[in-house]
Amino acid sequence: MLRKFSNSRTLDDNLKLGTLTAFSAGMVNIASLMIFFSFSSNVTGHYAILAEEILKGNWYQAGVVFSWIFLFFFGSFVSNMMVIYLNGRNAYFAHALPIILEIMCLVSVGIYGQFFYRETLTETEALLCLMLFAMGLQNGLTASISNFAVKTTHLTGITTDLGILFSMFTMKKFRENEMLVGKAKLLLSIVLAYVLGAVFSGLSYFEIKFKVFYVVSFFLVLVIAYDFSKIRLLRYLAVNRTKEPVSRDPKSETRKVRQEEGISVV
Amino acid sequence: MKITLVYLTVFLTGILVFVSLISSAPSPETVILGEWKEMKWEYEKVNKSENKDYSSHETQEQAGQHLIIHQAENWTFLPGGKLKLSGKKNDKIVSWRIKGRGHILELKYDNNSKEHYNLTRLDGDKMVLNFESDMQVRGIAKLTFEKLL
Repeated sequence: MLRKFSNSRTLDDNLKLGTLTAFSAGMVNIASLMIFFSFSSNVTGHYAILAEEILKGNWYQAGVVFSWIFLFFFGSFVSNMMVIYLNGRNAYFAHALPIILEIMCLVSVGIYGQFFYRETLTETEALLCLMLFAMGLQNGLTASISNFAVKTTHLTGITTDLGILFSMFTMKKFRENEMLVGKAKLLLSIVLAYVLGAVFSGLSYFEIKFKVFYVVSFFLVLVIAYDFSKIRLLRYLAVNRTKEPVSRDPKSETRKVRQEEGISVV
Repeated sequence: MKITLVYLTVFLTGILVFVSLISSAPSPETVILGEWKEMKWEYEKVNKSENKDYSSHETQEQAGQHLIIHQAENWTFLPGGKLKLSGKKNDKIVSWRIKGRGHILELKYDNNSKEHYNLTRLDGDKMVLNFESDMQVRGIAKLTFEKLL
């Protein structure tokens, strides 16, 4: 899910990454809406609200909304910085780091909400800042490593793409195009996962309140752990192969595994 | 070096814009403090073709019949999240919080039930609250207040 980069990713890689992260984004968005009365995984509406608050002369509110948009942008910025600067050393680490940061943000929101939240406006706005930063991190990462094929925190672009794809599928030549069909599957899976996450979050919020952020974090840990387990498995297989008496070049085996792990080979 | 400076300038400008916006106006939590007098209740129907118009009193009686605020005339927002609802017959104390970007007023009662109102307008002398209601037809109720103290 996280090891491969850009065009070396398969549809299956994108499907796994897309569905799991979209599920998390759906959960975060509905949780923030129910607790804080504001969306946290998409910023299109915030741009409109920013304009409205400026028109009304509500400068405090305009400042708050501006900071949310800025933090979503900054999350995406930080995420991609990690990818492009650390990718050469260890692709898995470079791609996992934004998710680790995102988990830290969401767990902080959960812990603060569970033990310290006094429902003041400043706290509400600060926690929303953290959530928007976290969503920016996630969206920046998925878009960056999938060559912009996977965006999971908002569905405007995806719904547009699906509309275009389904209009194309009215023609036989496009229906038979595997790449287009694969793309439609990916986008539909993201939409479905997002909605399921949102419903799941809405239902579980009534029972577990702020602990819902631990559940989101658990799904993100799954994303990291899946690839980590694959890397461990590949290493184990590589070690066993090099122990075999058949004359093989251990250096080339290690090189192969490192390439599969997404670690740069010089 | 040059690009670092450009990026630093952009980010610092962003922070500067945020700080100046936030500090140029008081927080809604501060503006709302004090005593407010209910001036009128209005009702905006979803379906405009419905021919009945509601007076302020009718709106208050029908849209507010299930709400605790129904019989209040003066609302006093106290620091620490307490709200005193003063009516002709008695007073009530409930808890208040402002949520979102300062656009939602949440009232919490002793039995832990909550009511949410959209803070459509809040400035030094006027406050407008909106909430969805099902009177005889679906619509939005609007409460207008003027500040006393």
